[in-house]
Amino acid sequence: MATRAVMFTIGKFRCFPILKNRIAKFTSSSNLLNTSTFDTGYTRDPSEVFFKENVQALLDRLTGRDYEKVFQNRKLGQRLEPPKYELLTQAEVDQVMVEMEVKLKKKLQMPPLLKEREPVTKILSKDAELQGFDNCKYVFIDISQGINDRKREVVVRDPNGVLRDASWEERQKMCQIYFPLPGRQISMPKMFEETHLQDCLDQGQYQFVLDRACAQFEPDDPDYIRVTRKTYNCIDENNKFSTLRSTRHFGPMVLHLVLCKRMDNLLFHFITSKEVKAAADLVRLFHLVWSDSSPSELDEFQLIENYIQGPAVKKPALELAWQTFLEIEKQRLEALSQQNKASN
Amino acid sequence: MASALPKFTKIAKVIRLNRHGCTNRPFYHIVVQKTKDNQDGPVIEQVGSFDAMPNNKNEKLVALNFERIQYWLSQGAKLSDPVAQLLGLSGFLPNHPRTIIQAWKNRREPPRERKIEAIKGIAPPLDNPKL
Repeated sequence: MATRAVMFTIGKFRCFPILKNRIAKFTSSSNLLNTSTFDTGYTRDPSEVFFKENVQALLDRLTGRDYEKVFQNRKLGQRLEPPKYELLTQAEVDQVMVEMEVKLKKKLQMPPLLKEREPVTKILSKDAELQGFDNCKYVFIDISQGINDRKREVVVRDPNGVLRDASWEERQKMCQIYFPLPGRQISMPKMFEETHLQDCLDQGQYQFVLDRACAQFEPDDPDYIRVTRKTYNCIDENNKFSTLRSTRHFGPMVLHLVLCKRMDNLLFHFITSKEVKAAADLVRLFHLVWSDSSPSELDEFQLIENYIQGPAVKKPALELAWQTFLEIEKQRLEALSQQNKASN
Repeated sequence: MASALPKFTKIAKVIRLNRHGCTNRPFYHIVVQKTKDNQDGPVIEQVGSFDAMPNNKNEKLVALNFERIQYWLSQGAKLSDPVAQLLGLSGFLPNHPRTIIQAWKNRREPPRERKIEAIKGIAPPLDNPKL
């Protein structure tokens, strides 16, 4: 076991695909080692949980609504416009706020967590008489208007005469050539290769990486899942949760951490920044995901305490933080009550 | 069984390849044209493209607007041989006999080498392998 531990800590990512089926066994046996870089995460299908209404509501609440951050001018290569100041009545302001709410919902739409897609294996026809008609394959795409890209017919005729449905990579490449989406390249950008991805994450460019991954890949693409999981794990290790707060990626990140049972850092972050509601929501989400039931306690403090005593992994740190928070709360309440007495 | 005959206009329409691209780099547009018009003349509609040069993944890319091709076929448009072959390869139509014959020819063994004897005293064998 010790030799295996050494192999995993020294081994580079090149080993990752070969050792994939050994990793699950290894992580289950030793939680003490920081297995973040080799963490396969979970085998459960996240889409079962992600699309539930109560889970969506909780994730929405956890994401937050910092209007300043959501609507800030981001340097994405587009022309920036100076802000417009208008004089409005209260009714007009309310109308504008309603429109902004709609825009906000669109900007905060969470990219879904799905499991990896199955490779395409459908063969439409095997024509042995066509073997050798050409020494390259022919890729056909149906460019009829009004078809969803996922349903578009893309077929390949191989030199051995087999007519098959195109693989996911071929399909995405063809759809991007003939029906280009903005922000998406035909081949995978070098940024998403392991070394370059690590560089970007070391620089702390989490939101950029996630936004670009969202534009480049489909949500069930194995590359998308790899890139997003790596980013989420990196944020978790470095405790940089505030970078993603009020962005569309916070919800999927939280759900990923809950499914990995790695939400303790996030809970610690909420407690130390005194966001009790968020901490309670996180614990509720944990119960929803893992036992599919809402916990019986309605009191938030009790809820969090029960979690820290029970399923939490990083108990010492959390207990300390929680005790500190309770003391500060007590002092704050005492100060408030003294103020009230003094004023009365 | 009632079947509407296709409308025969005075000048037939045909779906064929129009060569675009540059010298030594062909790129074909699959278009619907009147038969009498030139290759670079007026086009009724473009219904696809065919890139004859294989890319770095050794693929030849063909785009076909099947919906519109179906429409023009119903209106009595003819198909040129290359277009019919492409449609056969894509599975829209049955395999074209020309594709099958070409495949057979490609698979055929190369012709046996014929050894040419020198004619004694008169001439050595020529270098032309066809003789």
